[in-house]
Amino acid sequence: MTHNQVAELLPAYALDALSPEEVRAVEDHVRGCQDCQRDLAAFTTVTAAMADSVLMTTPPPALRARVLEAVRPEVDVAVPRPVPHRARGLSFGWALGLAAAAAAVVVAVGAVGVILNQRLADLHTQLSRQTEQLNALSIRVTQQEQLLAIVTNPALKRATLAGSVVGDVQFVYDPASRLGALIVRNLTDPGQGRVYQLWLVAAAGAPQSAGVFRPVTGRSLVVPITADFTRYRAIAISVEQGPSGAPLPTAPPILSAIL
Amino acid sequence: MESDEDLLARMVRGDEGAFAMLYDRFSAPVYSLALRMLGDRAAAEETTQEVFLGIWRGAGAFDPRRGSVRSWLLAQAHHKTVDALRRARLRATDPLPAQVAAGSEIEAEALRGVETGLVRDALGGLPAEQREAIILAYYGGYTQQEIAGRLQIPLGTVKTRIRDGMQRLRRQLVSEVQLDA
Repeated sequence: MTHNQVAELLPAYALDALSPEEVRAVEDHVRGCQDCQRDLAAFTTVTAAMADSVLMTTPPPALRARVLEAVRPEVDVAVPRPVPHRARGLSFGWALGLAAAAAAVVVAVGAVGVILNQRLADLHTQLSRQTEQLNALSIRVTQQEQLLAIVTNPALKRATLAGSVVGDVQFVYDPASRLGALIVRNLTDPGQGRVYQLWLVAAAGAPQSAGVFRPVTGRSLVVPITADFTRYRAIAISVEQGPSGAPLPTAPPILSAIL
Repeated sequence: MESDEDLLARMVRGDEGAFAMLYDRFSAPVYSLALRMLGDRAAAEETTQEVFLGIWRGAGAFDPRRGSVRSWLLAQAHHKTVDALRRARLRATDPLPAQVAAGSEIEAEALRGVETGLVRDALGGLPAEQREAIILAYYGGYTQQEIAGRLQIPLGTVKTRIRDGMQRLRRQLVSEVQLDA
């Protein structure tokens, strides 16, 4: 279709009165034609005024709730905040906690596929980019499918955390790429002003903080973690003072698992 | 107040708060247009939801060279409402024969919903046959081809009426200042 032919169709295009074939021809041309873009902007302003001129009716509040709910992802992603302090001593409770961790179920199946590694790497890249943009502690990732693919793939190493509280908390990780994620489901609120703090525990030396998080009741949470997991024997969670946790655990672990 | 463009940019980054604000700004015009064209509350709600979910997913596709966020969003709303209207007409077991409904009746019915003075006056200032074609297209959701069939006039005549009428409306309703803004 020539420029003149398309230009003549722009008013009807703005009214949504063209056949599907004409719509395609117009869109193909307008993409590369500044004159047509300007004309179409003018005709779209006309049709927007026509839309605005109908009798205004407030939509029901229930619709607002439905629409907003529809865009909420079912999985939250929390970016763990690093704790900058140096470690010093260890409390007695942590020896007990690690004994409990030994009883935790550990599942490790097969080698990790290159594709999965890439997906996990993409997720981390995406997360760090979004963290920069939002500069916020907690963000959500809309690509739930991507997250779920990581969570459910049997090729990743997987450890289920167990301990003194009820909750479905799993840790999936890939030692080769050093990428991992804590998957938190049905974990209760840690209490007013408190946070859950995640620790990586080596055979010797103090536990190292891997960040803090707070689950929202009824929502799943994914906490991405990057570390050399081969250096650690266990992963553990304690309840600490919010908002940024403690340099060393101040309470016995409530959940833990052997890596 | 944050601009519509800023809200869209935040939505591209997955910001649901920005989406809620955009919904609060535009849900009434989107819903009202759908209700006006579909004549059914449940269908209007369904279409409104579809429009906003489309905006949420397609926020990144907005191109400021093609007009304001408002125009873009209302164009999406009209497009989805027309789709719903055409689907409903296809489903209808007893479709109205094209010849029965005279254009003037549909036009009177369509104009009844047009409340705002400026657009009503601009439409009222058009020659009757141009006004009829534009109202059938925009508020009635009919293609040029369908309008020709309904009014039993040649397709070329419909095209000319729509083109000339829209050019006049453009001169009356769109100042260049408005476009640049």
